[in-house]
Amino acid sequence: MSHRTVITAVPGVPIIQIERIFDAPQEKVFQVFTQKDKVARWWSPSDEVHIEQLEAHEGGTWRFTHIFDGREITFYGVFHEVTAPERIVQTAEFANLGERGHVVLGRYEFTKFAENQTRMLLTEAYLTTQDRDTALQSGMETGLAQSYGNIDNVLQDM
Amino acid sequence: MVEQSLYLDNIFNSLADPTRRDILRRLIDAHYTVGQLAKHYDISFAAVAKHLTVLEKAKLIRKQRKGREQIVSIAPQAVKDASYYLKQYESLWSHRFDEIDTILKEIYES
Repeated sequence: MSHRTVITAVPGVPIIQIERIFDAPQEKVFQVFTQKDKVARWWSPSDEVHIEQLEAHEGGTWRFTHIFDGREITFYGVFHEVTAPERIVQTAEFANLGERGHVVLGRYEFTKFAENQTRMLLTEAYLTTQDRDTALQSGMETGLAQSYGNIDNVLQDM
Repeated sequence: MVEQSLYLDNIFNSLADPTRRDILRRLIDAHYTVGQLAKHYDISFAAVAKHLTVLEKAKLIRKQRKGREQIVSIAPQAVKDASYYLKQYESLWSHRFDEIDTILKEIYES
C-alpha cells in the first residue's frame, strides 16, 4: 500500500505544502529526485517526456517538456541549493504561459522518518495567490483532468 | 433528485468554459464590479455579463447591487471549486510519488 500524500494550501497565502513518506533511506530518495533517468520516469503523467536539462548542483539549470495531445508543455528553472541528501531549493517557471515573471520557489526537504523511511516535504512559494491558483489548474490544462480528477471528484467535494 | 442533478449540470456547464473558470479564479481573491471584470477580457461587456448570469445560475457567484453598480463576489460553492483544483494537484503528485515508490523498490531489489 502506498503512503498518503498530504497537500496543504492556506486560503489567501500563496504557499502550498506537499508531504509524503517513502520506504527508503534519504540517499536513495534524493537520487530519485536528482538523477535524469529517474526523474524521466516519475515527473510526468504523460507517456512522452523529455528531460532536456537536469544539472542538480548549485547554479545548475533544469528544463523538462512533456507532451499531451501533441502539445508541448515545458517547465524550467535554476537550482539555488542542492545539498545531498537533505535539501533542494530551486526556481520553476511555466514556459507556455505567454508571459514571464511568474516564478515559483520550491524547497524539497528530506528527513529521516524511521529506519529506512524518509519524509519529503515540498514547500512551493508563489508570488501571488493568482499564480498559485494557475498552477493548481495546470492539471486541468495538461489533460490530467481526464486521467485522474473526473466528475466523481467534483461530486465528492460538494 | 431531479432538481439536484439539474443543479449539478449547471455547475459542470459553468466550469467547462475557460472564461468562466478565469472569472471564478479572479473572484477567489477579490470582489469586482461587472465593469471591472469585463475590462479583463477581449469579449464584449454583454458577453461577460452573459457568463456571469451562467455562473450566478449555478450558484457559483453572487451579485449585489450597490448604488448604480453591481458587485460580483464568489459564492461558497465556488470556494469548494478551489478545493477541487487542489485535489487535482494532489492527484498529480500522488501519481508521481507512486512512480517513485516503484523506482525505489527496483533500486532495492537490484
